[in-house]
Amino acid sequence: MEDNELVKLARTGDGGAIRTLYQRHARRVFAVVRRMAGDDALAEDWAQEAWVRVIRALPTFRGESQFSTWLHRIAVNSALHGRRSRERKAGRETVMDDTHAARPTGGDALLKLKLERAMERLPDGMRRVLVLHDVEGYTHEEIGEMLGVNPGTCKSQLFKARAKMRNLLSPAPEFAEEVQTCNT
Amino acid sequence: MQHLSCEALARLVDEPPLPHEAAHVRDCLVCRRELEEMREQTLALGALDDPELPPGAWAGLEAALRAEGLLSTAASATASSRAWAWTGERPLLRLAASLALFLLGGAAGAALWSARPGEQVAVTGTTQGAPVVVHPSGTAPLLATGPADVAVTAGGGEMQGMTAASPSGARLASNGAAARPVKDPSVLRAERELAEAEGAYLAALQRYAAIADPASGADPVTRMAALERMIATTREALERTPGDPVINGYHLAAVRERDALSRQLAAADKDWF
Repeated sequence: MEDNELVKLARTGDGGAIRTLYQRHARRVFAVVRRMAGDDALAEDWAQEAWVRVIRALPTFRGESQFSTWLHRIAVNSALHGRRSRERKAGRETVMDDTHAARPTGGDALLKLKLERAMERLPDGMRRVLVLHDVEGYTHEEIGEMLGVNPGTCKSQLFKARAKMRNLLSPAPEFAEEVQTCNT
Repeated sequence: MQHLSCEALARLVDEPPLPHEAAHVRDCLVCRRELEEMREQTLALGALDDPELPPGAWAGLEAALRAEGLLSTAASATASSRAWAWTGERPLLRLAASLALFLLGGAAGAALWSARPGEQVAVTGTTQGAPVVVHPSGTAPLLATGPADVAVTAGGGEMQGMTAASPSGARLASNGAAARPVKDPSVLRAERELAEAEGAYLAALQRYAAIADPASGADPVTRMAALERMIATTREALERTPGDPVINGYHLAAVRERDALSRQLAAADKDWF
């Protein structure tokens, strides 16, 4: 059964339809939320919140875009919202580091593991932009809209994130020396 | 020479360079190599697999949806849906299936480890007895005992063409139960769980095969040992002919590779494991 047909059933509260939609798309939703959260427990909460929002908002889904696209966008927004809530609770509202910006950045299993771990070690702002652009494929304009920043700021964060990732992933000492030279 | 900054290189991954940047990258091997690796990193990020869902994710969501009144009918509407869930029911059946697979996996792994390169290993079993792993060359079979009521393979359902060098032909057939009509949902669930365990087992078996084949280079420890042997051999040769350019070249290349691998392993130990 197509997604749109399942959506029609799910709007009526049909548990089987909701569950089938979940089975089809849950991993994708969890993936984007997990990478933006950088933390399993947080990601579980945010992914669940995303799904509750999706089911709640089903009556507003008009089918103009694919269900998966709409769902993905809600998942990203849930992750962003979850992060902001967490920061408010922690009493510190961090915004994107725009020091430079306002002023406007299969393989193998080991490499993939290293990439995932390196992403977790990025600062929140950098990780968010890197995940949305390099992993999820959003444009700078789309990311800027989601984050409430201009595309230039988004680019700047992305380039910093890539450079930081490169640094985290390149252990070779002799090359590190070259890179230091490169940065001077 | 003033190299490009890492952030500038990160920008060049998907944006055109300024004229002076283009000229620099053309002439500078270091920056060109760094840019290539930055591009590979970006491509690899786009090719990452989705992580597995945490266990119990659906149960938590279902409870939340019910609490909000967003679910009006049962969520387990289909047999496939029920089979998909990993619930706590029928633990003994699941345990028996897992145990059988574990024993069979261990025996097959041991057989692969001991197999000579190119030698074929067959894994068979029956519904009446334990799985059996044999070397077709006639060496003594390895026997794995297991619960007689759970069999992984049966008459004609065996792994064929399994060699240490080419595990891709691995296939694990389910027993005759798959052909019989099954109505009981708990049996469907058990079959699903068995299939998942089979998948994990086959992945592990492929890993065994990759490790057992030194030529694959898939295992860093094996590769390190090979490099050490090469270094020792070339060092001995250089003691006799210290000026030989070819042997010097091999020796230096092997030392360089070994050092790079050491750093890679050290970084992996330190950062990730």
